[in-house]
Amino acid sequence: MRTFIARRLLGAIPLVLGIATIIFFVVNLAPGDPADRFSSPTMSAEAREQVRVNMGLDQPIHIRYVRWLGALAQGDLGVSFSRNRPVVDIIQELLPNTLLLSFTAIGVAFVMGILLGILQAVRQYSLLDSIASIVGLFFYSMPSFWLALMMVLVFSLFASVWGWPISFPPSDIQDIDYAFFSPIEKVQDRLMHLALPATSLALVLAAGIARYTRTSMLEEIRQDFVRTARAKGLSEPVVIFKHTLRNALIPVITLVGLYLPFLFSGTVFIESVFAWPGMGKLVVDAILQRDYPIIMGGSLVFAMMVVVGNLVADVLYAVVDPRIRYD
Amino acid sequence: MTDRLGPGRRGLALSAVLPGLPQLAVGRWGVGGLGLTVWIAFLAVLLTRWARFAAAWGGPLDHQIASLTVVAGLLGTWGWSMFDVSRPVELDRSGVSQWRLAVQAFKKNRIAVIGAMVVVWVYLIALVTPLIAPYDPAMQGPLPGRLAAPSSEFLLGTDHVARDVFSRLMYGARVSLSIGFVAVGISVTIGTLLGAVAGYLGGWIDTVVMRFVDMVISFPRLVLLIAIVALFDTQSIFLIVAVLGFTQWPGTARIVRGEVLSLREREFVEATRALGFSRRRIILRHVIPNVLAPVIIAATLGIGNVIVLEAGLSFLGLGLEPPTPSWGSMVADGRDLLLNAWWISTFPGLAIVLTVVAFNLVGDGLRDALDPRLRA
Repeated sequence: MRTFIARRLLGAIPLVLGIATIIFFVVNLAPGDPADRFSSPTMSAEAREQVRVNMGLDQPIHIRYVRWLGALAQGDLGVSFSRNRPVVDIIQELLPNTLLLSFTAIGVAFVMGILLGILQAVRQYSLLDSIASIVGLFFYSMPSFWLALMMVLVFSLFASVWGWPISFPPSDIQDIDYAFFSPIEKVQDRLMHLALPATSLALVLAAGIARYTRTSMLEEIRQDFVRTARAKGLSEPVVIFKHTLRNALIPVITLVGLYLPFLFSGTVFIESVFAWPGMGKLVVDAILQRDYPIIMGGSLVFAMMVVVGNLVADVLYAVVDPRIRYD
Repeated sequence: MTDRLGPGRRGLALSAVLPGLPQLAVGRWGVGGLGLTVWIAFLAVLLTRWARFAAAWGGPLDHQIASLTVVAGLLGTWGWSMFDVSRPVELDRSGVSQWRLAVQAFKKNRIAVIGAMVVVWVYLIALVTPLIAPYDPAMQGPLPGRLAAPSSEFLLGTDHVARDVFSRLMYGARVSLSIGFVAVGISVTIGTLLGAVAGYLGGWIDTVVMRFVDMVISFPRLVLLIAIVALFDTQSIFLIVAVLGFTQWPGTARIVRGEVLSLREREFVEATRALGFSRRRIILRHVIPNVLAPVIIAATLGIGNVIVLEAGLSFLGLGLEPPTPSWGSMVADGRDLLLNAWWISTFPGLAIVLTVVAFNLVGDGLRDALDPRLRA
């Protein structure tokens, strides 16, 4: 087992290196000079050149590449052009927000999706099954940014207009007066702000997970060992949850790895709709400002999270399914 | 069992007036319904928009295409129905191909047929939009007409510069659908070729291609897309299509490679090797035709995926240049006006959902129909 994990970790290194290389060249080979954005047309030629030197843009691209990789190896992602702060500091500040949002979303999505999938499989071809399939297909096909806007419209704007008991805040991560809240109020406030963005992200994912769980459950439920379990008189909940579900969940685990890129793409939109101060918004803003170090650092962090997520999924898969050999 | 009215006079007469109805009458509701609705709708277009139809021939290209679509649709429906009715009932059932079996299985899947009808209709509407759109999508109306709620004059209301949302929605369909179609065409071609070559040849080629696929797949594609589109600073449709197409292929490549790995060991491929065919010929003529089923499924599901992605790019302001309407940018237009004018964002989003659902239904139906193991 240990060698298996070690081997996968070693295998991930060239992958991350390759991704870093792609990121670097896509960003740096794009036409246009970021220095233009940070110097004014009235500046003298020397001053403009100085700006380029400060940004490290005076060097040829291969030198910049080697330098960037060298710094990367030491955990240094450079200094942001627009914010004049080390990229690592900025990411450290914003990454927890993104992780909070995406872990809540993926947690909610898996719980909702798996429960719905079980229900659909147990009552195959029932009215509930067909309705859930159709509704699920709609959510599955929905652009997350539109779903988010609709959630804001109904549960935040219309809710306050129509005087519903609760209306959720439409943007940002915390209330303006957050600092003055008591600890309980702080948790409450955070949950209120988390509700809409996390639900919008989760619903789209949950639809896919439910679909997958349903298929997987249906495959297992027809197996002989389930018939045996029923034949020896086990109660239905035990048959479903203990015998069938455990086996059906094995392929669902791979979804964790598969859905991570979707999840992070989703956070880009959701953070932009809800003005959620996180990595997605950071990278999009940086791209529009041509802030190369942040673009490269941010995308690299995203990519590494996906790689690590896939690794965890692989290891989990091997742990729960003893039929899989580690070599 | 006959599946059509005989070539009698009744069927022919019915078909000459209302093509599709004879097919509908014998329960072939999919093609029949499609034929009949196309016939009636296009006739209605001709009758109510005759002036635009006649003027289109000397007009811009999209108007010409629209008029051509109407003519082709009418002639095609009529001709197909007449041919279908007058065909002899006896059909040679001796050689039923895999494709015919798949078509039969697909027809039995009611919900997939509905999806296919919606897809065809969305494409037809996109094509004839210049003839039927009530207003010019870029025309800004008088200021008092801003943010008008949906009414009989403006079916889906107007936006912040008094443009008709309904007309923009119809024009926006063209952007979404054409981008989806072309980008998936690019990605499927590349993915199939690379996947087949990697799977068949194996060795270092396989390693290099699949490592690259792993890299692209474990990258949040949206970030890459945004980066390329934003940094290259041109909002041309070609760049967006190319970028979407060139980042979509790894999924297809992975599926194809998996299939090819097992195909490679099959007897008929071995036979082609024994016959001394070149590798090029084996891959193109013998391997690829046998992996087409999963490729078609992936392509259908991929179109929906690309439509959503394009809408996302437009939503972030990285799509086509305004005032070209695109569903994503329309959603973005209404974003700050949600409370005052909910219709601006809501309807384009619904259009995206409807279209993508239809493509996904067709994709699921194809999966069930093309996989012999799933065929009932």
